[in-house]
Amino acid sequence: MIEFELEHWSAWAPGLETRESWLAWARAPRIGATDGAPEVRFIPAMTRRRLSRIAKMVAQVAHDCSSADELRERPLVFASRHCEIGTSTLILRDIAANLPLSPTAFSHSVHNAPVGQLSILAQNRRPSVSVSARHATFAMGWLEALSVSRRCNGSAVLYVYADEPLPVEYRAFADEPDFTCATALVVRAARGAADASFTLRWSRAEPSPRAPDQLPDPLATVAWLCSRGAQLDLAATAGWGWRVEHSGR
Amino acid sequence: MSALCALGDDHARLASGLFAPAANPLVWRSDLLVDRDVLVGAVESSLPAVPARLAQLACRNNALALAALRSIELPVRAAIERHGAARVGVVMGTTTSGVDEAALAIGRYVESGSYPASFHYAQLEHGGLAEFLADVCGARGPAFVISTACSSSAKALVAARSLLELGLCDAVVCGGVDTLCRMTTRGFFALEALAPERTNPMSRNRRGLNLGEAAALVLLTRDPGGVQLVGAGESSDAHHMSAPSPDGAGAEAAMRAALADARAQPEEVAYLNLHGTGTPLNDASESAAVARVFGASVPCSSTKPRVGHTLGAAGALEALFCALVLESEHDGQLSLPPHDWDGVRDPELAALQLVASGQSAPVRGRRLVASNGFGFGGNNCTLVLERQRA
Repeated sequence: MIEFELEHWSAWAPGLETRESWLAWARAPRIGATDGAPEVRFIPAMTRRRLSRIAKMVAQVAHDCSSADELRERPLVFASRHCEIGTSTLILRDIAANLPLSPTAFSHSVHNAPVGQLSILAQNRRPSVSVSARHATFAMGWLEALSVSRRCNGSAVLYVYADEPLPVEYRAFADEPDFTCATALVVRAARGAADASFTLRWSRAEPSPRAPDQLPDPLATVAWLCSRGAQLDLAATAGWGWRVEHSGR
Repeated sequence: MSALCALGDDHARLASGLFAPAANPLVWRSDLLVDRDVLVGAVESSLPAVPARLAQLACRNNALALAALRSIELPVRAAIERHGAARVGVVMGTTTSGVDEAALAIGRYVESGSYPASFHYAQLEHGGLAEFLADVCGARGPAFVISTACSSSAKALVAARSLLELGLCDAVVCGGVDTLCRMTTRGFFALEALAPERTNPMSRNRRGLNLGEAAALVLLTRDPGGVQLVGAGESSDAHHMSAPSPDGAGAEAAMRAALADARAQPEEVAYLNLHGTGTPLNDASESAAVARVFGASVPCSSTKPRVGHTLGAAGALEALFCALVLESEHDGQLSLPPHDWDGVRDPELAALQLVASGQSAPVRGRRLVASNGFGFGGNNCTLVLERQRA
């Protein structure tokens, strides 16, 4: 069990760009539109044009829950199940056709490209980590964010998650509903129960797959935050998963 | 500890290849680039078959992981029995996963509109590596992959150590796996980072890197004694996606943080395994940073001329090489991996003490060694290992 503080959060999905819109959404939460990208007008146009949709979503939610100083000083943890799979798939098509690869596309296809670009934009020189874990990606990124907070002497960590639907080439393999969404949580590992509002507990979970109408973890988390729910169960693998609870402080 | 790389697939072969006065197991391959051969570090041994129930995750990357797991299967099983499966985690680094299988499959898809029966998208998912290993070894604790380019598996070891310190796990299977594939070979070729011959790190004549493949696995526990991960330092350059900051400030911050975490002074470190890719930019920035932190007093070498740059596996593989250095102690001396190069110093680079063939290091006080790993996105990680008495 880990005790932690959740200091701030933000989220972005097409049509859901403000705290008010998320609070209204949380009254009847569902997976929404998948098309569209944040405008990220706070980024200079030259740089903005080079960012993928995932990178823009990451920059947007990071910006929405941090001041410039906080964005420069907080360690960064990023999680994404598929990340820049769109860019990778274009590269794979070029490989299949024996076409020369674009060096920029290649260096921007790596899993830590969005968080690397965020660190450059924000001039953030702190540790940065990039996590992937299939169905458990969101939950494992959250765990790693608390680990990084612990490694950085209890510093607040910016945990950003982003994903978008699989490209058409892989649609047949999709095992989760399509969604486009990014979330940011500012979390801090606590020194003890007195210092914490939440706990993250590794517990036995229902082995059955999630119901088809169940929200993906990032959206379920936003709904839980908006509705101030008691507990949140995140996707389990092999019969074990995370449960997030208010610690009753 | 267990690893497979161009030097071999067991401890004895790895150690003899690592410390030999000269060793060059790199091979020319014609199947990776278009219309030209490329020198790489390849795993030549035959790999075990992936169990049929895990066919969705059947790719060379996971087969390499399975082969490496065989050598540590007994201690992993003992840890699960002692602590319970839910207290044993899996944290791995990879950048390739099954991307070469995916490249073949996309070719077929473009031609015919359907995939080969053996292909599944899960082979391409980085997270598949952790899920695969957890399944085959029976661990039921947290399982995830860290993918921060060439620092991935160094950071996987650091994250594994955190799971122990947080009290969430009692043992963690951790390390890294990356496979030779057309995506990374052609990508580094496009970046003009591949050497046309054997890599020649820190030389005035250096012209780039050779790629390699490897799997390196460690069972990390809280048990005292033996080789321990005692320090880790992480930083970001905030400079450029595919080039290190020229002054090496990020690399320097990672090394200083790792030493502070290990409560060690620079002069206590007996050997430093360089990131040492042999690209003009890496070696310039790394040598400047190493010279500022350690001066020219610490013996250092790049082991990449002997195994290639194994990308997501490099951090764990080179940590394992550092453990072999610590375990080589004999009559108060540590064997050191020689730095293979043409011996032509670059007057533009800060002077380092590059390990000569047959050079060893005396043991003084603590037995400490360190390893650097720097990746795309300006992602830096330095590890400090110590051999402790039980």
